Amino acid sequence: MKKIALTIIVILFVLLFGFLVWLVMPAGKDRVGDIIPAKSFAVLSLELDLYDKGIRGILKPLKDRAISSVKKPFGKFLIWSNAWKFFLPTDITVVFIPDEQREGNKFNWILYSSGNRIGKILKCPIARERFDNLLAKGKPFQTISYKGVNVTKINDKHDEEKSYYYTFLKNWLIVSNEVYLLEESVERYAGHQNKETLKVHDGFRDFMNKKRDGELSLFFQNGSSHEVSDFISNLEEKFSYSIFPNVNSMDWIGLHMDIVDRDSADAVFLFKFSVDVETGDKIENDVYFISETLRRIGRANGLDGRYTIGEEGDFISANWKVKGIKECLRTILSKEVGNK
Amino acid sequence: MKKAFVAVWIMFAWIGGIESLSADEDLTNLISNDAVIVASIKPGKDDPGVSYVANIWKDTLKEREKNYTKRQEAIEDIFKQPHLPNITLAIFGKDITKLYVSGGSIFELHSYLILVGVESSDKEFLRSRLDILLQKNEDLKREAVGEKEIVCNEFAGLSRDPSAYVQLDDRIAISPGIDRLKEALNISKDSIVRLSKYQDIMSKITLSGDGQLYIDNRDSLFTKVLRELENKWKITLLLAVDYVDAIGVSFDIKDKDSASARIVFKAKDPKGLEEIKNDARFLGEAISRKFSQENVEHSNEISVSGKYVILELQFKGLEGLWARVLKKE
Repeated sequence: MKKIALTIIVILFVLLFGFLVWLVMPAGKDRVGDIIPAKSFAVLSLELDLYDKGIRGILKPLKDRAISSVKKPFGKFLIWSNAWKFFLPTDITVVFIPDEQREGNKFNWILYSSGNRIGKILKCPIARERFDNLLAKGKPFQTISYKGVNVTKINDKHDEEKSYYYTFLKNWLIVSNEVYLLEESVERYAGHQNKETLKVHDGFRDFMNKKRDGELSLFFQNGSSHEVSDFISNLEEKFSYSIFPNVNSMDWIGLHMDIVDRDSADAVFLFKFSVDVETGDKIENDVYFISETLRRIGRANGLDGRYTIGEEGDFISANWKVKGIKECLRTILSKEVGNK
Repeated sequence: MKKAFVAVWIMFAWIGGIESLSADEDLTNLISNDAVIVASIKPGKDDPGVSYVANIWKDTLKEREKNYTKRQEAIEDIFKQPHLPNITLAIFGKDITKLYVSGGSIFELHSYLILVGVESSDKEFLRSRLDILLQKNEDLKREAVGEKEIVCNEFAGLSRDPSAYVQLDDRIAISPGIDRLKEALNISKDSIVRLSKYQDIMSKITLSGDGQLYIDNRDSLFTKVLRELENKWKITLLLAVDYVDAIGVSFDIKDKDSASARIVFKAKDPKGLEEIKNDARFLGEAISRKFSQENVEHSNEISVSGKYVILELQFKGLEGLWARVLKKE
């Protein structure tokens, strides 16, 4: 009898373990470029390969800080044992879109997180309701159904006028501060949007296709509404300074960043500017000035940056190598702790 | 308020209404060769550019001062004079060293020397106005040093405020405290004009300009000062400052619409030339872009000759800018 009970316990344990492994295993990647809003201004994308030496290098000081700031022993144990890592998504993309309703440089945002199976579990209504309650922390929340997809609205706990919306779609957990952005993603996923409005994403797709594993990418689109130009013009007006006078003749800016040294968190950056050939020289001068300014701001903050600027057809690129990131991060974090 | 007082002092000294010295006369022979920063304004007697800028400044001050105090009246009297004098400001290496050895900051520097060229016939006029400006509520102390008389206010406010002056024939020396003035009285062979490094860098800049600046990176003092300023500004302006031996700057306001400037960097070692050249390019771009935003036409050019990197800047279309900048102050 005891033997049978023991066998059942072992089987249950194996099943539970198997379930947990299944739960935390990456669920596969989906192309986020197919569902981001057409008027995206900036797209920040990070592939979180936890076995990547660079990512591990950069997470180390964050982990050290978390261990010292968490007081409960169990919490400390979870952080120390790296168990939390298995619940992290493998791919995170944040998109910023100019808010045409508000004045100034205000942006709406939408976050796509994918690669974890938890979202599949949360598609079960009971689990979803529990998850909603957990996030809302006892505050009322609302569930809206849009084209068959459940969207949850949660009010900000500090500001009643602010709300956040989230939903699960395929392998993505999608969160935004505006419901229309979630709806647009749902529509694009269902293929309801006119493909013509998405032409500007060709550059984005090409750029993202060249992204390597473990890299962080940032993409700015200077679309038909000249979002980047307007943003730069506002900055130039604010500081009475000409930063990027030839920005109008540029279609987009892309950035790939990769941590190449785990110990020091040294990183390489590739900035790519899509330009009109006729204005290439002027933009090259702007790229030089921006690069030098960044290098000098970095140096004043303990970063040693070196770069080369090159031309490749319709692109001007700036290849960077930056040393001292880990130390700089440590200094920033220790200052923050000191301020608290 | 204190900053405004120092600024008024400098402006007073510049636009002091006392006739300019002739071109041959040089205030720098009163400055000891320990000086590491020497800034001079040498407007020509009828310089159209400087006169235009000075007139805007005078008008702006007149508009601001509604209820004049005695001190403001003294400034007003000085402004009524027609011509602009030469003025030189010097900061000394031993003062900076002393400051850093004691763990101080460059913002606590309270030792400098201001020299103004004056016309002999205006001595009494100037003396009376200087007395009013220094006096505040206390009587002035007068101390005889040789044949000269140092006038000072021991309670002049902050230690960095000008508090003493001495008249040396056709020149006036002003300083916070009397030590620097006594030194100026006794300088003969050890003045900076006899220093070969000074002569060398000044010969590379345009001497006919309205203003000049000499920076000596002796004992890396300028490096230390600049690094402190850069830490405050959160940006490194000269990455290659360690390679710089000296810097010379001259500027010329040609007329109400155009101006030019020349910046010369002397390298300690030819190995640093490329880095210095990159700094010069960045500096040229940074200056030009500020003017570009103000719709001023500009150009900048860099050349290298031996150990020297030379940055030349030209500006056109400044007329509107002068009024905007000076009236904003």
